[in-house]
Amino acid sequence: MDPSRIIVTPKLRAPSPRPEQLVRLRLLGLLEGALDCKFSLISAPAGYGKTTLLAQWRQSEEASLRFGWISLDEQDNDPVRMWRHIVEAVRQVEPEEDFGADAIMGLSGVGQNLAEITLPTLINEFAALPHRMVVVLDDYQLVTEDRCHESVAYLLEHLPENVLLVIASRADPPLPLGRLRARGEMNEIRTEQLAFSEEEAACLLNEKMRLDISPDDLSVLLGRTEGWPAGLYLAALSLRNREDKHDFVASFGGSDRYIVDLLGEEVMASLPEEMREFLLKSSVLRRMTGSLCDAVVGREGSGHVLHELARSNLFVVSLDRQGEWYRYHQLFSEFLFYELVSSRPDLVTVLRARASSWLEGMGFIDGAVRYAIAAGDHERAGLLVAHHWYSYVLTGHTRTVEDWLESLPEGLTTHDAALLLVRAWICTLSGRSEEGERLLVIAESLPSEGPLPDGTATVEAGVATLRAVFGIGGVQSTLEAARRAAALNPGRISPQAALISFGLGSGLYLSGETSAARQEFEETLELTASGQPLLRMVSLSYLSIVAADEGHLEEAEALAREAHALVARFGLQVLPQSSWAPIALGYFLAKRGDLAEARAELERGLSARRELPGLSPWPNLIGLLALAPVHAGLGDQGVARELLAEARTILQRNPDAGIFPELLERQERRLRKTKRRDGSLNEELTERELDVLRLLIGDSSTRQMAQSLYVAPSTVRTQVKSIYRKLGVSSRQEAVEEAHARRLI
Amino acid sequence: MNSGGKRKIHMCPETVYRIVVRDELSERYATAFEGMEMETKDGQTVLTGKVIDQPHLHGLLNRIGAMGLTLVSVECAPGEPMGEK
Repeated sequence: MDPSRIIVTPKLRAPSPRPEQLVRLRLLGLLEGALDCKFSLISAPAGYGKTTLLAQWRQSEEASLRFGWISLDEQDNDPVRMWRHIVEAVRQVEPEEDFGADAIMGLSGVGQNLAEITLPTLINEFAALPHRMVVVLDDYQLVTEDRCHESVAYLLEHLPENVLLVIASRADPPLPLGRLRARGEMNEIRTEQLAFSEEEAACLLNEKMRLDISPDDLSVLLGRTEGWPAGLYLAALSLRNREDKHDFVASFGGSDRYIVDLLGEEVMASLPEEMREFLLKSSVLRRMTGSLCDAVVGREGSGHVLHELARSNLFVVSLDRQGEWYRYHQLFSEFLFYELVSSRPDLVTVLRARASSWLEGMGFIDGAVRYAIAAGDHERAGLLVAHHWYSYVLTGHTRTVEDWLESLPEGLTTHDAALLLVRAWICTLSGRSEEGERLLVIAESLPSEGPLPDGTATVEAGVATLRAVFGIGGVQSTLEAARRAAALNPGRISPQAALISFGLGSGLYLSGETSAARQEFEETLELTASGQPLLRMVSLSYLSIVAADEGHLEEAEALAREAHALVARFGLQVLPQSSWAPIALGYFLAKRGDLAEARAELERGLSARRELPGLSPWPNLIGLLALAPVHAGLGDQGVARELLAEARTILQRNPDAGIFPELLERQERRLRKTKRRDGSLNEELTERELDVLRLLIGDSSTRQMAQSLYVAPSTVRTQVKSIYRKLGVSSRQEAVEEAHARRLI
Repeated sequence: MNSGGKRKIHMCPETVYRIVVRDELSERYATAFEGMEMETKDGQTVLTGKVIDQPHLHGLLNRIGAMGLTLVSVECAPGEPMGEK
C-alpha cells in the first residue's frame, strides 16, 4: 500500500492561475493593501473569482513571500484536521520539514489542549520563521464548527508580525470582524469590488476572447449579470459559438432565468452529442483523470478530451502541473449533475459504482469508499473499510478511517465483527481503551468464522492481537494474548504477523525477558522494513530501550533517531503513539549521562501521553522510571519523588505489571537513601575505585577492565564490590546511575 | 442581508416555509431542493414545502448560496401563525 496515495496534497498546494483568466490589476492593487494588514477577508458568493484572484496574487508575490495554501473541504470542519492541514500546508513551502512538529504532537487526542498548548506552540513556531508567510484558507464557509472558529480567532489575536492570514469565504465568518475593522487590522475585498467593471468586461470579452462586442451590448451583459464573473465567462463561452451575437445579448439581457441554467444550456447545445454525454456522465465525479473518465463514461481517450476541454472551456480546471487531474468549476458541475439527475436518474448510481471500482483498483481507497457510499452500496463500502483500514491507521490517518465508519449505516458498524475490530483499534489508539475493550467483547460474541477482509485469520485472532499490541489488561495477559494470537496466526503469512511479533516482544520485555524480547522486535523490524510506519516506529523505540538496557548505547541511539525520522517523515506527530520516539531517545540519553537533554526528551514524551489517561500505561512507566533518576541527578529530588509517586499511582491501577513493581521499589529506596545522606558518601571512593567506576560505564567486561588497569580480574571484582557497597547499589547499572547522580565522574 | 455563520430566523416547528430567490430556475434544479415545490413567476423562483428542522432549513439556504443565487425572502407560509417557540 503506497502511503503517497493517501495524502491529499492538491488541497495543500495553491492552484496555478490559468492564462485564459483575466488578470484584474485593479483587484491585485487592492490586495497590495493586504500586505500591511495582518488579516484579509475575501467575502463573496460562488463564482466571483476569489480563488482565481488569490492564485494570481500568489503568483505575483511568489518571489518575496511564501504562501501556505489550504483549500478547505467538509472534512476540515474539525479543529484537529484543520490545524493538521494548516501545518502541512506550511510544510509544503518551508524547507525545514519539522515545522509544527511539537505543536501537533498528540493533537489527535481530544483537541482540548488546542488553545493551551497546540496554538501557542504553533504561533511561536510561526514567529520563528525567518521570513514572511501568508496563510490562505480558501472556502472557509465550509467550516462551521465553533471550535474551529475559536481557534482561528485565537490565531488572529496572537498573530506574529511575519504572518498574514487570508480567508476566502462565501459568507462572513463568525470571527471578531468588527473589532478588527475598528482597529484597522483587516483588509476586506467584498462582492462589490469583485464584480467586473466595465473596463474589465470589455477587456475580457473583446481583448482576451476577441468577441468584438459593442459597448451597448457590453452594457446589457454587465447589467444582466451585475458583473458576476461566472456569468460573464459563461456568456463569453456562449457568444463564442454564435454568429448573431447582438441577438443573443438582447435575449440574454431580457431573460429572467438563472444565468448558469440559461447559459449552461447554451454551452451544451453548442457541443456534439458525444461531448454532451461525456460532460453529463463525468459530472458525478469530484475530480477527474483520463482513465477514471474512461471507466465511468464507458469510452476511451478521455485524457485527451479533458485536455481539450481545459484548453478551450474555462470551466474545466486543471488540478496539477502534469495535466493529469481536473475538475469542473463548481457551478458548472452542479448544472451538469442536475441535468443528469433530471434526464437520466437511473444512471447516477451506476456511474458512481463504476467510479468506486476504478478508484479501488488504483488504490485510492478513500475515494472508493466515498463513491460506494454515494452509490448506496454500503456493504461494499464496509468491505473496503474492513480490508484497507490498517494501512491508513499505520500511516497516522485514523481520522479518515473514523470518517468512513461514521458514514456507514449504524446497523453495519455495530454488527459486523470486522468493522467492530476496526472501531476497537481506533478507540484504543486514541486512548479510549475502555470503549475499545467493550467493542472487542461484542466482536468476540458475534458468530463469525473464517478470515477477515484484511487477512486476519479469525475474529479471535484479531482480538488477541489488539490486546497484545496495546498491553491491555496487564503484563501477564498481554503475554498470553500475544501467544494466543501467534498460535492462531501460524507462519509469517498474515499481514498481522508484524503486530503479533511486536505484541510478543512487548509482553516479553515487560516480563523481564529482555533477550527474547529483542528477538521479537528484530523480527518486527524485518517484517516492517517496507511499510507500517507507525508500528515500525514503536518497535524501533522499544528495541532502542532494550539496547540501552543491555549497554549497547550506540545501537540505542541509532534506533531512537531512526524512530524520530519516521515520525517526521510520515507526519505521525498527530498520534499519541509518537511519544515513543522521545521516550526512547530520552532513555538512551539518560544512560549516556546527558541529563539535561534526557530530561527534555522524556518530558516531551510523557506530557503528550498524560493528556490521554486511557493510553497504555507501559511507556509511561518506562518514561517515568527513566526520568526520576535524571531529575535526582540534576539535583531535583522533589520532582523525582513526584514522578515516582505518579508511577506508583499507575501501578495501583494496573496490578499485573511485570518488571515495574521491583524497578519502582528500587528507585524509591535509592531516593530515600539520598534524602538521608544529604549528598555525601559515608565512605569516599579511592582513586583506583574511581578508575574502575569510569570503566563501568560502557561495555567493558571484567577482564577488559583488568587489562586496561594492569591488574588481575580478581582485583577488579573486589573493587567493584567495594564500589557497590559504598554507593549502596547492587548492580552495574545502578552504580553508573549513582555515579552520575553524585557527579563522581 | 448580512450572511453570517448562523442565521437567526424564527423557527416555526414542522411548518410550511416559503423561500423566494431571484431568477427563474428550470426543472432540472428541482432535485437540488428535494421535498420542496418549485414554482417560477415574474423573474423569481418560489420554493414551498415542509421544513423538518433547523438543519434542513440551513441546508436549503446553503444550497441557494452555493449556486450563487440571490435570496429574496424566507417566511412561514402565509396564513400560518408564527409559532410560540
